[in-house]
Amino acid sequence: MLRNTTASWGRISRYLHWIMAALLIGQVLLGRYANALERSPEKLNLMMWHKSIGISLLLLMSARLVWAWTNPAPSPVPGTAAWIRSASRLSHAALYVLVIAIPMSGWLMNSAKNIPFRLFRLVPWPNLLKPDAGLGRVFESWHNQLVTLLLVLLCIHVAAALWHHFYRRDTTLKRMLGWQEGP
Amino acid sequence: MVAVLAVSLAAPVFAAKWRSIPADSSLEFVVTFEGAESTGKFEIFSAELGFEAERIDTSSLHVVVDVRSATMSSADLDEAISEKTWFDSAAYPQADFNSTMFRQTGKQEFLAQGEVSIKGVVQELDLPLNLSIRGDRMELSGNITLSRIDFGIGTGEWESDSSIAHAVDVRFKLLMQKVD
Repeated sequence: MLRNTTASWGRISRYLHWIMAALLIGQVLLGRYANALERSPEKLNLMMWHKSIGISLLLLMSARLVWAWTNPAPSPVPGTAAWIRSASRLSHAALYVLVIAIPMSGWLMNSAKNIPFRLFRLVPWPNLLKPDAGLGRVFESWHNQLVTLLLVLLCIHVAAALWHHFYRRDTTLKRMLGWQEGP
Repeated sequence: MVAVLAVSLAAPVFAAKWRSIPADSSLEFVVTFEGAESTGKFEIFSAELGFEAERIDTSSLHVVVDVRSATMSSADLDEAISEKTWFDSAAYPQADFNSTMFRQTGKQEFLAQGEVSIKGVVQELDLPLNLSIRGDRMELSGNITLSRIDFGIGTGEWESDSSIAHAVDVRFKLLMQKVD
Protein backbone atom coordinates (compact mmCIF):
# COMPACT_ATOMS: atom_id res chain seq x y z
CA MET A 1 0.00 0.00 0.00
CA LEU A 2 0.91 3.67 -0.33
CA ARG A 3 1.21 4.82 3.27
CA ASN A 4 3.17 3.49 6.21
CA THR A 5 1.55 1.22 8.75
CA THR A 6 2.78 0.28 12.23
CA ALA A 7 4.52 -2.72 10.75
CA SER A 8 5.52 -1.73 7.23
CA TRP A 9 6.78 1.03 4.95
CA GLY A 10 4.30 2.26 2.39
CA ARG A 11 5.21 2.48 -1.26
CA ILE A 12 5.88 6.24 -1.17
CA SER A 13 8.40 5.96 1.65
CA ARG A 14 10.13 3.05 -0.02
CA TYR A 15 10.33 4.65 -3.44
CA LEU A 16 11.56 7.94 -2.01
CA HIS A 17 14.23 6.05 -0.08
CA TRP A 18 15.67 4.08 -2.99
CA ILE A 19 15.35 6.80 -5.64
CA MET A 20 17.10 9.27 -3.39
CA ALA A 21 19.76 6.71 -2.45
CA ALA A 22 20.56 6.23 -6.15
CA LEU A 23 20.56 9.99 -6.81
CA LEU A 24 22.81 10.64 -3.83
CA ILE A 25 25.42 8.11 -4.91
CA GLY A 26 25.25 9.48 -8.44
CA GLN A 27 25.69 13.02 -7.12
CA VAL A 28 28.80 12.15 -5.12
CA LEU A 29 30.37 10.53 -8.19
CA LEU A 30 29.25 13.32 -10.55
CA GLY A 31 30.43 16.06 -8.21
CA ARG A 32 33.85 14.52 -7.65
CA TYR A 33 34.35 13.82 -11.36
CA ALA A 34 33.22 17.24 -12.60
CA ASN A 35 35.20 19.07 -9.95
CA ALA A 36 38.40 17.36 -11.07
CA LEU A 37 37.97 18.49 -14.69
CA GLU A 38 39.75 21.48 -16.14
CA ARG A 39 37.55 24.45 -17.01
CA SER A 40 35.71 23.45 -20.19
CA PRO A 41 32.21 23.40 -21.71
CA GLU A 42 31.92 19.79 -20.49
CA LYS A 43 32.72 20.82 -16.93
CA LEU A 44 30.19 23.67 -17.03
CA ASN A 45 27.53 21.35 -18.35
CA LEU A 46 28.19 18.58 -15.80
CA MET A 47 28.19 21.14 -13.00
CA MET A 48 24.83 22.45 -14.20
CA TRP A 49 23.50 18.89 -13.90
CA HIS A 50 25.17 18.37 -10.52
CA LYS A 51 23.63 21.56 -9.14
CA SER A 52 20.24 20.83 -10.70
CA ILE A 53 20.08 17.30 -9.25
CA GLY A 54 21.36 18.65 -5.94
CA ILE A 55 18.56 21.19 -5.66
CA SER A 56 16.08 18.51 -6.73
CA LEU A 57 17.34 16.35 -3.84
CA LEU A 58 16.90 19.30 -1.49
CA LEU A 59 13.30 19.68 -2.61
CA LEU A 60 12.66 15.92 -2.48
CA MET A 61 14.13 15.72 1.02
CA SER A 62 11.94 18.59 2.16
CA ALA A 63 8.91 16.76 0.78
CA ARG A 64 10.13 13.61 2.52
CA LEU A 65 10.38 15.45 5.84
CA VAL A 66 6.76 16.54 5.52
CA TRP A 67 5.82 12.96 4.62
CA ALA A 68 7.71 11.62 7.64
CA TRP A 69 5.88 13.98 10.01
CA THR A 70 2.48 12.97 8.70
CA ASN A 71 3.32 9.29 8.26
CA PRO A 72 5.10 7.89 11.29
CA ALA A 73 7.70 5.23 10.63
CA PRO A 74 6.70 1.64 11.34
CA SER A 75 7.49 0.43 14.86
CA PRO A 76 10.87 -1.21 15.29
CA VAL A 77 10.84 -4.94 14.65
CA PRO A 78 9.66 -6.70 17.86
CA GLY A 79 12.52 -7.66 20.16
CA THR A 80 14.80 -4.81 19.10
CA ALA A 81 17.03 -3.66 21.95
CA ALA A 82 16.78 -0.11 23.23
CA TRP A 83 20.32 0.81 22.15
CA ILE A 84 19.63 -0.33 18.58
CA ARG A 85 16.49 1.78 18.49
CA SER A 86 18.41 4.85 19.70
CA ALA A 87 21.26 4.28 17.27
CA SER A 88 18.86 3.98 14.37
CA ARG A 89 16.91 7.12 15.33
CA LEU A 90 20.15 9.09 15.68
CA SER A 91 21.77 7.93 12.47
CA HIS A 92 18.60 8.40 10.44
CA ALA A 93 18.15 11.92 11.82
CA ALA A 94 21.78 12.64 10.92
CA LEU A 95 21.17 11.39 7.38
CA TYR A 96 18.12 13.64 7.01
CA VAL A 97 20.14 16.64 8.26
CA LEU A 98 23.05 15.89 5.90
CA VAL A 99 20.87 15.43 2.83
CA ILE A 100 19.46 18.91 3.50
CA ALA A 101 22.73 20.56 4.59
CA ILE A 102 24.81 19.32 1.66
CA PRO A 103 22.76 20.88 -1.17
CA MET A 104 22.22 23.97 1.03
CA SER A 105 25.98 24.41 1.37
CA GLY A 106 26.30 23.96 -2.38
CA TRP A 107 23.63 26.60 -3.01
CA LEU A 108 25.36 28.97 -0.60
CA MET A 109 28.72 28.31 -2.27
CA ASN A 110 27.31 28.98 -5.73
CA SER A 111 25.69 32.19 -4.54
CA ALA A 112 28.86 33.47 -2.89
CA LYS A 113 30.94 32.58 -5.95
CA ASN A 114 28.33 34.27 -8.13
CA ILE A 115 28.24 31.54 -10.77
CA PRO A 116 25.21 31.91 -13.04
CA PHE A 117 22.82 28.97 -12.65
CA ARG A 118 19.42 27.94 -13.98
CA LEU A 119 17.85 24.73 -12.66
CA PHE A 120 18.09 22.28 -15.58
CA ARG A 121 18.85 25.35 -17.74
CA LEU A 122 15.21 26.36 -17.33
CA VAL A 123 14.39 27.87 -13.94
CA PRO A 124 16.42 30.92 -12.86
CA TRP A 125 17.66 30.06 -9.38
CA PRO A 126 18.06 32.89 -6.83
CA ASN A 127 21.30 33.67 -5.03
CA LEU A 128 21.15 33.46 -1.25
CA LEU A 129 23.72 36.16 -0.60
CA LYS A 130 25.84 38.84 -2.24
CA PRO A 131 29.03 37.77 -4.03
CA ASP A 132 31.79 37.09 -1.51
CA ALA A 133 34.92 35.19 -2.52
CA GLY A 134 35.88 34.44 1.10
CA LEU A 135 32.50 32.96 1.97
CA GLY A 136 32.61 31.05 -1.31
CA ARG A 137 35.69 29.20 -0.10
CA VAL A 138 34.14 28.60 3.33
CA PHE A 139 30.97 27.05 1.88
CA GLU A 140 33.03 24.98 -0.55
CA SER A 141 34.94 23.48 2.34
CA TRP A 142 31.68 22.79 4.25
CA HIS A 143 30.21 21.15 1.15
CA ASN A 144 33.20 18.81 0.79
CA GLN A 145 33.43 17.93 4.48
CA LEU A 146 29.71 17.26 4.81
CA VAL A 147 29.92 14.87 1.86
CA THR A 148 32.73 12.98 3.58
CA LEU A 149 30.58 12.78 6.71
CA LEU A 150 27.68 11.50 4.61
CA LEU A 151 29.81 8.75 3.09
CA VAL A 152 30.89 7.60 6.58
CA LEU A 153 27.28 7.57 7.75
CA LEU A 154 26.18 5.74 4.61
CA CYS A 155 28.72 2.99 5.26
CA ILE A 156 27.33 2.60 8.79
CA HIS A 157 23.75 2.70 7.45
CA VAL A 158 24.41 -0.01 4.82
CA ALA A 159 26.45 -2.13 7.23
CA ALA A 160 23.66 -1.92 9.82
CA ALA A 161 21.02 -2.90 7.26
CA LEU A 162 23.07 -5.92 6.20
CA TRP A 163 23.69 -6.81 9.88
CA HIS A 164 19.94 -6.78 10.54
CA HIS A 165 19.33 -8.91 7.47
CA PHE A 166 22.09 -11.53 7.63
CA TYR A 167 23.03 -11.64 11.31
CA ARG A 168 19.86 -10.79 13.21
CA ARG A 169 17.78 -12.25 10.37
CA ASP A 170 14.98 -9.77 11.10
CA THR A 171 12.66 -7.97 8.67
CA THR A 172 14.32 -4.52 8.84
CA LEU A 173 15.79 -4.58 5.34
CA LYS A 174 12.94 -6.66 3.94
CA ARG A 175 10.48 -3.96 5.01
CA MET A 176 12.36 -1.27 3.09
CA LEU A 177 12.62 -3.55 0.08
CA GLY A 178 8.91 -4.27 0.31
CA TRP A 179 9.51 -8.03 0.56
CA GLN A 180 7.21 -8.86 3.43
CA GLU A 181 3.50 -9.58 3.01
CA GLY A 182 0.50 -7.91 4.52
CA PRO A 183 0.01 -4.79 6.65
CA MET B 1 19.67 84.61 -45.76
CA VAL B 2 22.74 84.34 -48.01
CA ALA B 3 24.63 86.63 -45.61
CA VAL B 4 23.78 84.41 -42.62
CA LEU B 5 24.92 81.36 -44.56
CA ALA B 6 28.16 83.10 -45.52
CA VAL B 7 28.81 84.06 -41.88
CA SER B 8 28.17 80.53 -40.58
CA LEU B 9 30.44 79.05 -43.26
CA ALA B 10 33.19 81.54 -42.58
CA ALA B 11 33.18 81.26 -38.78
CA PRO B 12 34.86 78.01 -37.67
CA VAL B 13 32.54 75.87 -35.51
CA PHE B 14 34.34 73.90 -32.82
CA ALA B 15 32.35 71.05 -31.39
CA ALA B 16 32.14 71.17 -27.59
CA LYS B 17 34.07 68.36 -25.92
CA TRP B 18 32.33 66.16 -23.38
CA ARG B 19 33.97 63.52 -21.20
CA SER B 20 32.42 60.73 -19.11
CA ILE B 21 32.45 61.09 -15.31
CA PRO B 22 33.81 57.72 -14.07
CA ALA B 23 31.88 57.68 -10.78
CA ASP B 24 28.54 58.24 -12.55
CA SER B 25 29.03 56.11 -15.62
CA SER B 26 28.60 52.40 -16.22
CA LEU B 27 29.58 50.02 -18.99
CA GLU B 28 28.12 46.55 -18.55
CA PHE B 29 27.97 43.32 -20.50
CA VAL B 30 25.50 40.46 -20.14
CA VAL B 31 26.69 36.93 -20.84
CA THR B 32 24.49 33.85 -21.15
CA PHE B 33 26.19 30.94 -19.38
CA GLU B 34 24.56 27.51 -19.55
CA GLY B 35 21.26 29.25 -20.17
CA ALA B 36 21.66 31.61 -17.22
CA GLU B 37 22.36 35.34 -17.57
CA SER B 38 25.18 37.00 -15.72
CA THR B 39 26.10 40.67 -15.78
CA GLY B 40 29.66 41.93 -15.74
CA LYS B 41 31.11 45.40 -16.04
CA PHE B 42 34.24 47.30 -16.96
CA GLU B 43 35.37 49.39 -14.04
CA ILE B 44 37.84 51.52 -15.99
CA PHE B 45 36.84 53.22 -19.23
CA SER B 46 36.55 56.69 -20.70
CA ALA B 47 34.27 58.18 -23.34
CA GLU B 48 34.89 61.44 -25.14
CA LEU B 49 32.27 63.07 -27.31
CA GLY B 50 32.85 66.05 -29.56
CA PHE B 51 29.35 67.39 -30.05
CA GLU B 52 27.79 70.47 -31.63
CA ALA B 53 24.00 70.62 -31.84
CA GLU B 54 24.03 72.81 -34.96
CA ARG B 55 26.47 70.59 -36.86
CA ILE B 56 25.68 67.03 -35.75
CA ASP B 57 27.72 65.52 -38.56
CA THR B 58 30.93 66.98 -37.14
CA SER B 59 30.38 65.10 -33.88
CA SER B 60 32.65 62.25 -32.91
CA LEU B 61 32.68 59.62 -30.20
CA HIS B 62 35.77 57.93 -28.81
CA VAL B 63 35.60 55.27 -26.12
CA VAL B 64 38.59 53.58 -24.53
CA VAL B 65 38.08 50.57 -22.26
CA ASP B 66 40.60 48.90 -19.93
CA VAL B 67 39.76 45.26 -20.57
CA ARG B 68 41.72 44.19 -17.48
CA SER B 69 39.11 46.00 -15.40
CA ALA B 70 36.38 43.58 -16.50
CA THR B 71 34.66 41.90 -13.56
CA MET B 72 31.69 39.60 -13.09
CA SER B 73 31.79 39.84 -9.29
CA SER B 74 33.13 36.31 -9.17
CA ALA B 75 36.75 35.35 -8.59
CA ASP B 76 36.31 32.19 -10.69
CA LEU B 77 34.70 33.96 -13.64
CA ASP B 78 37.03 36.98 -13.51
CA GLU B 79 40.05 34.71 -13.72
CA ALA B 80 38.50 32.80 -16.62
CA ILE B 81 37.62 35.80 -18.79
CA SER B 82 41.13 37.25 -18.62
CA GLU B 83 42.61 34.08 -20.09
CA LYS B 84 44.04 33.64 -23.55
CA THR B 85 41.00 31.92 -25.01
CA TRP B 86 38.76 34.75 -23.75
CA PHE B 87 39.77 38.43 -23.47
CA ASP B 88 43.50 37.66 -23.29
CA SER B 89 43.70 40.92 -21.41
CA ALA B 90 47.44 40.60 -20.86
CA ALA B 91 48.06 40.80 -24.60
CA TYR B 92 45.12 43.07 -25.42
CA PRO B 93 44.57 45.32 -22.42
CA GLN B 94 42.57 47.91 -24.33
CA ALA B 95 39.41 47.92 -26.40
CA ASP B 96 38.08 50.99 -28.15
CA PHE B 97 35.41 52.49 -30.34
CA ASN B 98 35.97 55.40 -32.73
CA SER B 99 33.19 56.92 -34.78
CA THR B 100 33.65 57.97 -38.38
CA MET B 101 30.12 59.23 -38.95
CA PHE B 102 27.53 60.75 -36.63
CA ARG B 103 23.93 61.68 -37.28
CA GLN B 104 20.65 62.37 -35.56
CA THR B 105 17.84 59.84 -36.00
CA GLY B 106 15.22 61.11 -33.56
CA LYS B 107 14.52 63.73 -30.93
CA GLN B 108 17.09 62.30 -28.51
CA GLU B 109 18.34 59.49 -30.72
CA PHE B 110 21.61 59.50 -32.60
CA LEU B 111 23.69 57.03 -34.51
CA ALA B 112 27.46 56.83 -34.27
CA GLN B 113 28.94 54.72 -37.03
CA GLY B 114 32.51 53.64 -36.66
CA GLU B 115 34.89 50.89 -35.71
CA VAL B 116 35.18 48.86 -32.55
CA SER B 117 38.43 47.14 -31.74
CA ILE B 118 38.51 44.23 -29.29
CA LYS B 119 41.28 41.66 -28.82
CA GLY B 120 43.07 43.03 -31.84
CA VAL B 121 40.08 42.59 -34.15
CA VAL B 122 38.50 45.63 -35.78
CA GLN B 123 34.84 45.47 -36.75
CA GLU B 124 32.48 48.08 -38.14
CA LEU B 125 29.80 49.05 -35.70
CA ASP B 126 26.62 51.14 -35.86
CA LEU B 127 26.05 52.37 -32.33
CA PRO B 128 22.60 53.81 -31.54
CA LEU B 129 22.70 56.42 -28.80
CA ASN B 130 20.25 58.20 -26.57
CA LEU B 131 21.58 61.66 -25.76
CA SER B 132 20.10 64.37 -23.59
CA ILE B 133 21.69 67.54 -22.28
CA ARG B 134 20.66 69.01 -18.96
CA GLY B 135 22.55 72.21 -18.34
CA ASP B 136 26.24 71.36 -18.14
CA ARG B 137 25.62 67.62 -17.94
CA MET B 138 24.85 65.17 -20.71
CA GLU B 139 23.31 61.72 -20.34
CA LEU B 140 24.53 59.30 -22.99
CA SER B 141 23.15 55.79 -23.04
CA GLY B 142 22.54 52.84 -25.30
CA ASN B 143 22.95 49.14 -25.80
CA ILE B 144 24.21 46.91 -28.54
CA THR B 145 24.51 43.17 -29.03
CA LEU B 146 27.91 41.95 -30.12
CA SER B 147 28.89 38.45 -31.13
CA ARG B 148 31.92 37.36 -29.13
CA ILE B 149 32.99 34.99 -31.86
CA ASP B 150 33.52 37.96 -34.25
CA PHE B 151 36.40 39.03 -32.02
CA GLY B 152 37.86 35.59 -31.34
CA ILE B 153 36.61 35.67 -27.76
CA GLY B 154 36.03 32.08 -26.60
CA THR B 155 37.99 30.04 -29.10
CA GLY B 156 38.64 26.35 -29.58
CA GLU B 157 36.37 24.21 -27.40
CA TRP B 158 34.38 27.35 -26.47
CA GLU B 159 33.48 28.20 -30.05
CA SER B 160 30.03 26.64 -29.88
CA ASP B 161 27.04 28.77 -28.95
CA SER B 162 25.63 26.24 -26.52
CA SER B 163 27.76 26.52 -23.40
CA ILE B 164 28.45 30.25 -23.41
CA ALA B 165 26.30 32.06 -25.95
CA HIS B 166 27.81 34.07 -28.78
CA ALA B 167 25.51 37.03 -28.26
CA VAL B 168 26.72 39.43 -25.57
CA ASP B 169 24.58 42.41 -24.68
CA VAL B 170 26.66 45.52 -24.03
CA ARG B 171 24.97 48.46 -22.34
CA PHE B 172 26.20 51.79 -21.14
CA LYS B 173 24.86 54.71 -19.17
CA LEU B 174 27.26 57.63 -19.07
CA LEU B 175 27.13 60.97 -17.37
CA MET B 176 29.23 63.39 -19.37
CA GLN B 177 30.56 66.80 -18.46
CA LYS B 178 31.92 69.55 -20.67
CA VAL B 179 35.67 69.88 -20.77
CA ASP B 180 37.70 72.57 -22.48
